[in-house]
Amino acid sequence: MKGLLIKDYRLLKNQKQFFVMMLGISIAFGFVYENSFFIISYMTFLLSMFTISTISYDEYDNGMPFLFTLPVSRGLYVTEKYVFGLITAVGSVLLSCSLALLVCLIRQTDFSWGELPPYIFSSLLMVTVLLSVSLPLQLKFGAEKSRVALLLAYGIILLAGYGALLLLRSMGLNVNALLERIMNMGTVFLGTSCLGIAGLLLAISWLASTCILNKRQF
Amino acid sequence: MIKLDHMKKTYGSFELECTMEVKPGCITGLIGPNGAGKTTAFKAILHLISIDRGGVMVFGKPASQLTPKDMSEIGVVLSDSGFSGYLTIDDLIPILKNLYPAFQAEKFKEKCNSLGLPPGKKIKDYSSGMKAKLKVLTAISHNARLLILDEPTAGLDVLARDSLLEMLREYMEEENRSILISSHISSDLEGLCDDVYMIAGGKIILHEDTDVLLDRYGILKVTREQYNALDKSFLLRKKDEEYGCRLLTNEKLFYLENYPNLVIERGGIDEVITMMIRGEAL
Repeated sequence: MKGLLIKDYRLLKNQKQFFVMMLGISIAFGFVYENSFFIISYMTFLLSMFTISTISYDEYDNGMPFLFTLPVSRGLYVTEKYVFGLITAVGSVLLSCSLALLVCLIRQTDFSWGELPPYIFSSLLMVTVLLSVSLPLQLKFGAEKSRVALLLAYGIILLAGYGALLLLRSMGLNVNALLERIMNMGTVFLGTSCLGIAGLLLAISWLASTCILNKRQF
Repeated sequence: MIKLDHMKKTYGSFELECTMEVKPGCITGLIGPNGAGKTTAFKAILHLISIDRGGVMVFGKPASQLTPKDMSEIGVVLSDSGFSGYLTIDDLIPILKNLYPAFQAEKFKEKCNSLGLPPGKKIKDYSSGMKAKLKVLTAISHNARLLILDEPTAGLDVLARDSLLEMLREYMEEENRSILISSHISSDLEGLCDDVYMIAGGKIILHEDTDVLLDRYGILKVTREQYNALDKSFLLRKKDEEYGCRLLTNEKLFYLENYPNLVIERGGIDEVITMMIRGEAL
């Protein structure tokens, strides 16, 4: 797995210009927006897209068949993508939190440490959803065709979310109050819930990706 | 090392049916026209595609059960696939070091240097010849027991081809190593392989030791009268020409001794495969 992780890290270096640009935009956002913590979600989301892009790099010039002539099983390849995605996500959260705090210090903005966990957990959950949906689709349809499939998938997720919202409202529930209650349930509860949901999503997605790749013909 | 036993794979109307073997210590060539099924056979051996029927054994076990450890003992060149073009040789070294326990980094660097491959340049910016050299260098860099090389000399000039073939000969100096190689340049295979399989239309049409092929096979150019008077016991194929016909034999000496007036040419791989595909069976 270490060899594959090094490969993906080395491929990421090709995007350093994009990375520097994103860092600049994030810092600018940190100063422009009232709440500098916004950049945690922004940066984590964008940096996690890098994981998806490594599959495109692998597929460049029909590179995938050769990858599976290396001492790498298809299962290991899939696992590495998820591990790389999680490492990138955690790294992004750490980097973006540091940056957000630095901006707060420079701007001399008042903030409480308790504001951070909801941003961190929601960002990690968002990345989990992104990886869980994108990786199997990318492996199934390839870099080009998966764009349409991804748009469809995220469209369906948005519609399902909107449908759930309407359903809850029709049942007489105050969704905003419900969300606020969840956010105020404490770091431990939020962290455990997010970890549980993320773990479940990733496990389902990993199984689907492994199944897709095992069936794929090169 | 490799055994294909009535291996069958169908793609729409194309059907590949292949029985062949690569023995320890041997270099086996697979030659055939474009679309004959060479790459499909290679992919089946490497379990990149599933097969419909028959068996594919590598190192004595089904290709589908090859473990990463087994794969670390195989060096592969695929004609249409390789490491991502966005990587450089400097990137490849730590990758290969961590993938192959026996990767010889220093030797790899030296060879890259002597073949003029710039270590910091992206592979996608290499010429096709440089890409081909890098693929072969990578395949032989980790002390593999078996090399599976699909068109490794494609895109190379004569000198580069010669130096690559020399590298393969050096590789074979150690015992119990084997190579399965395909090439559309028959002279590469004639000078390298111990035996050759010819494939056309998804079927193996001939298997012969290279020495036998070069020594005993020949092309007879005869008029119709000469043809009628010939002993046809050792003729394999016939192809009509304006002057009469071309004939493929696997007993060139017989005709040289018994028909000294006939025009008899050397039966190289190109001539043999052309006659085997286009000629009429006798």
